[in-house]
Amino acid sequence: HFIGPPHDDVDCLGFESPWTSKPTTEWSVDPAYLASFRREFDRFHTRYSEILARRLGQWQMNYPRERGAMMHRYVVKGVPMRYRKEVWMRNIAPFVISPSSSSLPFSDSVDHSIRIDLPRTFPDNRLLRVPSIGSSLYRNLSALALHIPAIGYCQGLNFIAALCLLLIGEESRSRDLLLFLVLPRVNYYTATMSGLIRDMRVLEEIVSRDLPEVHSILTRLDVGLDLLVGKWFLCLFIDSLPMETVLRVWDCLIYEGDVWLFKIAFRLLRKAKKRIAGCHSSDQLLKTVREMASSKDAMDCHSLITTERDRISKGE
Amino acid sequence: AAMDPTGAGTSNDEFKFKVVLLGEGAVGKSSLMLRYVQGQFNPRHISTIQASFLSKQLTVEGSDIDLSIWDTAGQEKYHALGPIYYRGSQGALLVYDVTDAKSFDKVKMWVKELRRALGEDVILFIVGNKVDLADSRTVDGEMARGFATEVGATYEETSAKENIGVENLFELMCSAMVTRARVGPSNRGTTNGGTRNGRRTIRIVDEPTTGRKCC
Repeated sequence: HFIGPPHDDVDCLGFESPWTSKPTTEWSVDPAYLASFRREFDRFHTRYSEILARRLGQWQMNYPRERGAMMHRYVVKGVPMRYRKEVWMRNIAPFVISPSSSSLPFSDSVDHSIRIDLPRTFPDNRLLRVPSIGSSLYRNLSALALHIPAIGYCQGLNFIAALCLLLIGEESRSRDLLLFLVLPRVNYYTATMSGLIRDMRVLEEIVSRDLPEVHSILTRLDVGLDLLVGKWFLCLFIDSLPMETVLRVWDCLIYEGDVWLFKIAFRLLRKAKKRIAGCHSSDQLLKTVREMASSKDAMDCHSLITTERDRISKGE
Repeated sequence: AAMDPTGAGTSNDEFKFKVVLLGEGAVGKSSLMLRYVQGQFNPRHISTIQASFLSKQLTVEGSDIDLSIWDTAGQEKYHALGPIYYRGSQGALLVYDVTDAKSFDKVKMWVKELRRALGEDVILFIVGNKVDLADSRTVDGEMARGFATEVGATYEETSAKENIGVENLFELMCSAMVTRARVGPSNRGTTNGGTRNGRRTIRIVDEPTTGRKCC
């Protein structure tokens, strides 16, 4: 989850770098793997920090204030960290959680599910271990359970709520962002997950039209997109893609909506299509897709997001 | 990859098995998998969303086994997507936390669900995890063992943290699956083709029932 810079122990969101955490007798990561990942990350970061610096310069010079072609272009090319909070929150009104609804209790089992996930939400993040921030996370997930009883709690929302909190800081505004992100997709998280099932069918249509070679492997191996990439949509790519890529996707998602879930999912599958076509078992297929989501292609967020070569647009 | 259909051969058999870990959230499903496959325990484990899997090659009773272990999210909601995580499994490890009586109720639910969806072909193990926390234990081991016997499952106890019984658990499961595959009527899972046919059937049988439960 660490976004760098590579020589720091902790990034600006509180994520610890994987190479500073000391291996214990119980837990260690293969040093050879870690070293090769670090080389990859360093290389990426050297290139990417030039892009970040250039974008920051552009934003400082022409900070776009209104929705329009320029704002759109600027958002797609990445909102600098310094402006992210302001740009994300600009059009999100505070949600009023009325006193009557907040006095309705939710069930013990919802409360229990939220509580068991708290220590398991980004254990590599130092800020979330600060008691007051941990309680904010609990309160925001509880508020969501009260506000949207049809959901209560669904695993995965813990990651979304935590990233909102880490990025926005303030509890009530992070709760606004959380609700803003969840309300258009309530049915992803309800008991039947009908919204997720619907969107997986839509993605399958797109894949069968534009990536027939991938679609035929999925059919032959009898693996549904729900199993393969359902988590991408449920967690809005958190814990599947590198965190910097997640932030860049969220820039677009918050500005333009869920067309970006489809665009990114499609582009990732397209990047992996040759490897997917070579799969002979469902295990191999799952592994291929998982590895691709942490590959150099997934890390290289700028080209993943700014590429224009697909036919998925809001009109569809 | 040839299998001896008579079951008399004891060497050079190759099997491909899928085992799924099911159970309430935070009972230690992922930790059991990581302990067995990577020999490690991470006290700071992240919650599993949907499913993840690891594979391991091992030899049991002269047979080479390619074992895929599927780990699933604990929350029941995730099973609204249907039997996508456990279909095609030859074995299921139904895990509960010996310090949490509610997690044992979830095991009972899973026994019913799997028997209904996969029938008698699936080998069930009921696993009491976190036995290192003996002082806060609330589920009686003999009661759990009695329940397992009643429903035709094997009972084992483990601690992923202290590495108690984990290797043994997976080896027992593999050896049970080998025995079943050698004498069983369907030999599902020994080839990809066989598994696929099995899955198709399960899917058709299962969907209406899931619908009823939700309404």
